[in-house]
Amino acid sequence: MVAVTFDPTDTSHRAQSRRRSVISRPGPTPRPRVVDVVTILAGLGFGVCIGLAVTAESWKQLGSPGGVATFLGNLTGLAGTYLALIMVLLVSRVPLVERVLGQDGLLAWHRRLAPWPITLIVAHAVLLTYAFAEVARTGVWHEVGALIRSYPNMLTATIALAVMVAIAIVSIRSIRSRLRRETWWAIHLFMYLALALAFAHEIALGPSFVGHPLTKLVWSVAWALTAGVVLVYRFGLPLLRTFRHRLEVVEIRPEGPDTVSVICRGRHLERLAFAGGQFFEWRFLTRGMWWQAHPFSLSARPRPPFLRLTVKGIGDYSSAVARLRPGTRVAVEGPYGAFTTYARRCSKVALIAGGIGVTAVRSLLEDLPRDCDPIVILRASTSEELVLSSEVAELVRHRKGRVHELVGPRSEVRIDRLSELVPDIRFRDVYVSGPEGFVKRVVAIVLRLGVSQDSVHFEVYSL
Amino acid sequence: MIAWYASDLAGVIIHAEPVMGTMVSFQVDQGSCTAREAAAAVASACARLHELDAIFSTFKPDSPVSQFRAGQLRVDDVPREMALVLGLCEEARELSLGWFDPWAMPGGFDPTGLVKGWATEQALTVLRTAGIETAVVNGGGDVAVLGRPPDARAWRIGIRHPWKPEALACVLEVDCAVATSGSYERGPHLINPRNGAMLSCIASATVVGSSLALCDALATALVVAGDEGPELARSLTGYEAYLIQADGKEGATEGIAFASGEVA
Amino acid sequence: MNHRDRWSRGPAAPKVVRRLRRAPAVVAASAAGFAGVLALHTGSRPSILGVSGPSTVRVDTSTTTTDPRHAPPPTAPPAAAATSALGNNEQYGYGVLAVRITVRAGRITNVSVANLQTAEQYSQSLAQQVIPVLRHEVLSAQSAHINGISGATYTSEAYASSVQSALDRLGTK
Repeated sequence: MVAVTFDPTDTSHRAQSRRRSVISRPGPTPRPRVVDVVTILAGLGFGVCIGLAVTAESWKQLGSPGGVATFLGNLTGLAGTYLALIMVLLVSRVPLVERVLGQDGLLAWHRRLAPWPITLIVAHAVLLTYAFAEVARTGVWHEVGALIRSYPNMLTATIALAVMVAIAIVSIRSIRSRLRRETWWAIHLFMYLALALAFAHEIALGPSFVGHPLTKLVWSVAWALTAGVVLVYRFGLPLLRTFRHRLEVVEIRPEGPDTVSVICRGRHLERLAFAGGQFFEWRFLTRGMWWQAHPFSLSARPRPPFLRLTVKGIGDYSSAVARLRPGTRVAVEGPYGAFTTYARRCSKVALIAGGIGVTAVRSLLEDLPRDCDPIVILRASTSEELVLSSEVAELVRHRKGRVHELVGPRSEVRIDRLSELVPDIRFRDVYVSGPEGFVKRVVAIVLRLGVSQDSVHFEVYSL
Repeated sequence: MIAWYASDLAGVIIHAEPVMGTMVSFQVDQGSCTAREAAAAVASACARLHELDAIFSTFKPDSPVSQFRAGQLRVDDVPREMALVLGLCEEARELSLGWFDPWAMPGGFDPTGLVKGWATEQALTVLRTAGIETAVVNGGGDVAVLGRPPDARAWRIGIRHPWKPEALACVLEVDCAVATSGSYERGPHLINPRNGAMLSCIASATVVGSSLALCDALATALVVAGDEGPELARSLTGYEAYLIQADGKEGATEGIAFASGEVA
Repeated sequence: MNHRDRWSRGPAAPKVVRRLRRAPAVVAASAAGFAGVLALHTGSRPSILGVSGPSTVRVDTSTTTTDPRHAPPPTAPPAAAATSALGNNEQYGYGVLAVRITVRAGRITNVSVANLQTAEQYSQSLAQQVIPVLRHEVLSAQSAHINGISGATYTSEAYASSVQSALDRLGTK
């Protein structure tokens, strides 16, 4: 039993920490302008790529055999590869961007964009092969072999394409759902290799690059920078954090049926900048679990040297979490997430949590200032499932707000009572966290009640 | 520099002679001559080419043609070869309906469009006089042939593709002479990149006939004629033409003999 | 299990219309990038049609030079041995290209690109088709059993890159 409590009614820690000046750092302020600038630059780059493709050809070229296919092949190659670069940057977890859009937001964009680069790149290969075959007046399949043999770096480029296509196939929903997440993930990581392999043929053969050292330089620098960003922010920073903080599990505390809190201790946690509502990707370094990383929110602000996450258990993984032994080391990536008080546009908030979604709400509450009058709605099927409710109540009381607990089977409790419970909802930022269905429904209602889209923030969990 | 290329096949001499700013290739079948005689024949033909180069080179300021251009030499005083060429030029100008006009060239009379073909013909004549019965002489794209190839009915001459340097547009059967002119070797391309104007809308013109000199001149005329090339081609008698337009369309006169067999 | 859903169906679950308020700016930026490239493009790139300019030629030093009057008699062909001649380094649009032609019993049996360097001394960019065309068409010329090539006058330098040169060099008929 570790002598730490995250219960806000316990003021001893606050006194303690004031004495020792050990307060956890608040999260850095996100700067939305950064994302505006970044997206504009991305658009600019895309326009440049199209321009490069168009200026690489001439009108006469289009008239000669295979000309149109060559032009389109070059265009799709440039556009597809540029979009692939954007895809990599989207998941490279650059803090400046992640703070504004959230890791989940970035992943959503990554998934949304995904079909485009792969389609364009496959089209690029098909079109150019066809074009070359046209000109050489030979069969397309024969031309494939000729291309690979005759040109430098085409063999690696073809391997890269094969890898990309394999990853795309594996990501098709019906196939992906049959795989373990970690298997899919491991396959997906090969995309880095594929992009690296394909790079050489781009500058060696692309008509925009051959004989144009400046363009070649810019392209190379762009890819080098991307690689650097990935190395630093995707791999380097998480590793640094893990080694700096050396988290280990010190206690498992039951909170309710199927729910436990995991208390971890680490070094230098006062240097960890954290905003309430954020999450980490957790990798518990013990047998059977080390190769999986799962996202969990902290269920309270860190209290150096401790921090807490609360996990609800259904299934193998979470039962394994409940059985974690003290002393287990933890590797973390994060903190991630834009579900924070920084996302606020109004001064007042409404926090709506379903089931275990209360964890993010609980930690977010600590960041809200005194007397800000938050309205919190906690929803659960049974009252035992309302974990952390006493902590939430205390925090809300401290801030002169109100808590509403909605308990009961889904059909009995009508969340449509929302407009009654939060009459001034249009003047509040609304934070919704919980299972997917819950969040969908609530957000739909909230929007219908007239809350503007920019004021709705959500975090989706899955059971 | 004179270079001999070793031949894999017995009885065939292959030689390439740089002269007149281009390379003249010889493929000479010994036939009934000895190897020494055949080689000597080729050497004489080359020597003749150099002689003609000395007369007709517009790059040499003291050559007869340069002097003639500058007005320093009168028509009556020109060497015999040049008189022949002048006559041929007139014939060519008539035949080409004025599209081949050496007198209208900037800088003065310039028979270059005809001389190469004529000189190549002369080289072939030297070979024939020396007793050679089967030969192909290629003067930088103008081909004169003698006799029949051993394994076929007629000589097969490939016409160079205007846009693909190593490719063939077609293969023609030739039993006398064939010349090709085109706008692709001079500039890099058909369109003047500065002003977008087309240099010629005929990318390549090939003329087959009995006199290589006239074939040469007519091929040039057809390229220069541009839009009216096809009409000019139709008006020719005794000469067949094959045209490739800048947009890739091909056309030929009725008597042109395309070789059968695979040309990819 | 509670965790952020990485498998959620569709974009971030709820049917919030994606706040694409940045979209107009992105589109405008794309147009600006496109226009910028078009403007900066010097326009001196010639149309990518076909032949490059006169190519640089490395004279084949393996050829013997002899006085024609004392030419040695041509020898009988070696029995079906394969010889291969490395063509000159040709400056095609994409680079310095060396072609290797293999001959067996007097027939060109293979043409392969021996060396393609992507160095910077390119003159113009050429249609990428040149190289596969080179291989395929030279073979076609051979299989077409041609005796010669007629084309617009080539300079002595450009001769070496022509099929005529390949035919001459290897003594094929």
